[in-house]
Amino acid sequence: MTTREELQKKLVDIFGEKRVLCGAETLKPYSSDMTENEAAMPDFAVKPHTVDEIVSLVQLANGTKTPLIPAVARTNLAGLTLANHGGIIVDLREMNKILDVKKDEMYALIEPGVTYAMMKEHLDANFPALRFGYPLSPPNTSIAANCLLDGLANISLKHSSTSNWINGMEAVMPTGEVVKTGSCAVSPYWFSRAPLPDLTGLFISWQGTTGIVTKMAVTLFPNPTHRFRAFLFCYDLPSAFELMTRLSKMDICDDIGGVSWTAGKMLFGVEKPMHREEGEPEFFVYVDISGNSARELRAKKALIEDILHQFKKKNIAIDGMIAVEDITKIDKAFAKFSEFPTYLDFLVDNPGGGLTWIGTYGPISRWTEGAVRGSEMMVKHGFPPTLVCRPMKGGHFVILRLITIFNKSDADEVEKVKKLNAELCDLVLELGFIPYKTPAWVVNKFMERMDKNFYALMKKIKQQLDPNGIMNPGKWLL
Amino acid sequence: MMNEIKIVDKENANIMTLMIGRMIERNLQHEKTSEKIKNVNAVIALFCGKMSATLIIENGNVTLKSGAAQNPSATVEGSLKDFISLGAGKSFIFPVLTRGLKIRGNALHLLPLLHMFKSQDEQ
Repeated sequence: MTTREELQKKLVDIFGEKRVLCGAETLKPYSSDMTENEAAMPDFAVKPHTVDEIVSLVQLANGTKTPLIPAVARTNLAGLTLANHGGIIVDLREMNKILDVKKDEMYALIEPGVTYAMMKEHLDANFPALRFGYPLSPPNTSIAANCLLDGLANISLKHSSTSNWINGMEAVMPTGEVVKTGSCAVSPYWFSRAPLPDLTGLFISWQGTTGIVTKMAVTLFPNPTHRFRAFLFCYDLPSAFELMTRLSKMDICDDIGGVSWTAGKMLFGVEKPMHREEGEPEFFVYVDISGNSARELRAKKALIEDILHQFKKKNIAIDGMIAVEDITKIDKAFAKFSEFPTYLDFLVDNPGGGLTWIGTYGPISRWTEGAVRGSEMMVKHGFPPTLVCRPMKGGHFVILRLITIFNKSDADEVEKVKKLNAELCDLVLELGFIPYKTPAWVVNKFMERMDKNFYALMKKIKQQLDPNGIMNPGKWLL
Repeated sequence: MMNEIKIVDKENANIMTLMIGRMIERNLQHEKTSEKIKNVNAVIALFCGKMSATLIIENGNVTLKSGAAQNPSATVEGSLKDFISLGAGKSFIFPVLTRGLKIRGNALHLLPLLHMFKSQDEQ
């Protein structure tokens, strides 16, 4: 049995002293995240720079049966990078090169530490005719991590969840082999996952339990020359969701999003908004449209105006479209919504330090009901009903996110949040939604309704790929 | 001397009050605006659909609260879009002429309001 000191020495042999972190004070940032999940202190953290270092690490971990937890920014809201079984955090932030951009094939080849901010800066400076999609996560979020966790971004309405933007990968398997998936396994180009068996799926949404991704090719998209972003104020949830549903199926918007009234008030400095007058807007919808010419943009705006006119004829009040530039003149805080990537400080830097959600993908036909019942549940538990929603993939499915800000140092409040989240989870599962970036406690709830053979296959694959169970143990209850 | 705005019961204020409060707060940072309202006394009711707010200016001190005062010296009624447009520095003339923005009462009392609303970039 390897002692801690022996393990540390072997890690230093691989990474050098400076890139092996130990000691409770140094490791404290890795032991917790913003959520209500229990803190978990790892044994070490290491900061690899090369694939060979990761291979050596994986071989060492197999030999010593030491868990490895791959991580980058650690901003996921599901406790996915907490070392619940001890082990080594593999901090990939320093593997952060944009290795190549192919403007004809429209993809970028990146290392796992490349963030959305880096990508934006690089494309704006060097490839302005191309764009990427950006989430509402902080700009220092890892692109690879978000794609692997099947996150979403501001062009997911057109292009679906971000795992779909992975053209191929290079990964270190849990047994130390380096594998390529996608066209790069055969061709020098990383243009697609087709037409090969899709082994990329062995890493998507597996939460780091099947290997460590060391390179990823992500799809880039043409960058239209004309853009317009506007807000619409809706006075009740059903009309807001009807508006978003209708617009999403018209194939004219790049992005449609909705945030509840609580987010608006938080932007104006109300810490815990619980009160809404009957006449106040209940939901703020934003639309993002683009075009290759001013004429195309005008035509799209006109189509949206037509929809608003139809709502008006039915006596459904919707205020807008209000250009985001105009709202930003009132308060610069709204600039957060004018350009992505962005930093939603009113959520991330809230005074209590706690942020969690039940964030789901689900059926558009149950969207309104999920929003209404979820909001009621949050109020019942004493929390502001903060929702952020988006239609995806042309309206084929939707995001329903029920977000709670709380005081992390108040044990009672943490327990309340856990109870709320458990009830919200039951609600969304009942309606056919699935929490994405799934925390382990939610997987327990899945078991009641998950196809038995689906989970059996997951276990079989995990056992085959990771016989010593070193990769992020406990996630997916694997 | 630069004035500040006081928003009564901010935690329970409606979004219209918060928005207008922020507009005015931003502009009161400028001495020019404070100068223009320092001798003004007015009570202005603002209506937006079912929302309302009252703006009280007393010798240049500004208070804003949700709900409409009983006997304002002037009223302004419009949509959120109209108020935001004013705050973004757009002209009030077209919305008034097309009855998008409805003004009643003592028009003189509304002049300081326009100064407080208008984006400082436009002044």
